Amino acid sequence: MTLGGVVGFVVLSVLLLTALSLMATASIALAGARLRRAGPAAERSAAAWALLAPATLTLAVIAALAIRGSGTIDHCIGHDHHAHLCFAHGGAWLARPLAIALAAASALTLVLRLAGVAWRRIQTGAAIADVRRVAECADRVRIVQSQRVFCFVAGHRKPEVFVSSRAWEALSADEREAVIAHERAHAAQGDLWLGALIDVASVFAAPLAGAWLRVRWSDAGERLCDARAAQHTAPETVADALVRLCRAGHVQHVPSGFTPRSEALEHRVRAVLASGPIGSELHPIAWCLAAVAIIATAVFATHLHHAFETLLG
Amino acid sequence: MRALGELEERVMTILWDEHPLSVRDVCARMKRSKLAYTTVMTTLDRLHKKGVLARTKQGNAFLYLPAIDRSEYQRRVVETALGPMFEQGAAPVLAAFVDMAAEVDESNLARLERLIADHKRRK
Repeated sequence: MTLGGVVGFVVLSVLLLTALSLMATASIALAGARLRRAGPAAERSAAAWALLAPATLTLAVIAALAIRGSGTIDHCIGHDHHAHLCFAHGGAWLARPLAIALAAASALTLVLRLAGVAWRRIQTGAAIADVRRVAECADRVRIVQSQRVFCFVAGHRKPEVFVSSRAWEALSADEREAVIAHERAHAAQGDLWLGALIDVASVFAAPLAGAWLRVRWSDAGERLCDARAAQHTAPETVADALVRLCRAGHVQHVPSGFTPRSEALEHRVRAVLASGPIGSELHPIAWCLAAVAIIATAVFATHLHHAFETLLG
Repeated sequence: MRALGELEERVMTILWDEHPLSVRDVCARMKRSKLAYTTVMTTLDRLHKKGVLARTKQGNAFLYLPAIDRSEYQRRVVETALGPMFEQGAAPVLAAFVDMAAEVDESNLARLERLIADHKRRK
C-alpha cells in the first residue's frame, strides 16, 4: 500500500461524502412538507437515513474500488494519463499538493470531531453517574434536587427517567404520567443508542448539513414521543405539561434549561393537540434502496473506478 | 462539586442524621463495616477539606458536623454535573421531554394555554 494511494482514496471519500450528504439533505429539505404530513416517525427516520446513508454508501464505494484495485490483474497498465485510484500505483497523488492538503485537513477534522463526540459522551456519562448517586427514587422516576426545570431519560443498559424537583412539583399527577410516558417512549424506541449513532454519523456529514439533520431528527423524535405519550394519557395533558414546564422555568428566570424555544414549543403543542398521524418509519424502503445502491456499486465497480479517475483528473 | 464516594457518602449519612460526632463516634456507628479508625479519620479529614464537613476541637479530638445539609449537597452535585450541559444547550445528548435552551415569551405561553383550554372545551 502506498501513501499516494491512501491520499487518492481519502480525497475521493471526502468528495463522495460531501456530495451524497448534500444530496440527502436537499432531498429532506425538498420533501419537508410531505414528511411533516406523513408524521413524526417518517420525518425522524428520513433524517436518520439522510445522516447514515452517505457514510454507508461511501464506505461501500471505497470498499468496492479497493477490492477492484487489489485484484491480480494490474488495471493501471492500460491508462497512465492520470492519477490512479489504486493502493499499489497511486504515487501520482503525492505530486498534488492540493490533494494532500485536502486529505490531511479532512482526516484531522474528522479525528478532532470524533474525539469531541467521544469526549462529550464520556462527560455526559460521568455527569449522569453523579446525578444518579444523589437522585431519590420515587414513583418510577428519579427525583433530582434542582431549581432548574428539566426531565430526561438516560442510561443505555437500564434507562431511567430523571426529573428535577422543581419540574416534579410544578406538574399535576396526570402531567407527571405524560412526562414519564414521553421519556419511556424515548427509551422504547432506542433513542439513547440511536442518538449516539446519529452523533457519529453527523461527523461524516457535509458541514452544516449534519447539524441541521441532527436537529430535524431530534425535533421529530420529541413530537413522536409527545404523540406516544398522548396515546397513554391525552393530547391536552401532554400539551399542558409542556407549557407548565416552560412556565415553571420561565417564571424563575432560569437562564437556560431543557425548555423549548418559543416556536419549537408552539410547534409541539399544536402538533400534539392536532393528534395527526404518527406515520411509519421508512426502514424497509431505505434498507432496499441502500442494498440496491451497494449492489450496483459492486457490479459497476470497474466503471465507477474509471469514472472517478477521469473526474479527479 | 462531584458526587462523594461510597464510603464518604456513608459517613455523611451518619453525620446528617446525628451531629456533632468524633472519629470514635463515627467508627462506633459503622461497626458492621469493620473499618480501621485511621480510615474513618482520613475520610472525615478529606470531607472537611472538601468543605462538606465542619469541625471543632474538643480536647485532643475533633468533633465533626455537616457544613451543608443533604439537599444542598444534592443540589450542588446536580449543578456541577448538569450545569455545563444546560449552559451549552447540550440537551440532544440526553433524550429530554423538553429540550433546546432559550427564552419563552410570557405572552406566547398565555396564548398556548388559551389554545389548550379551547381544545378542551371543544371536546
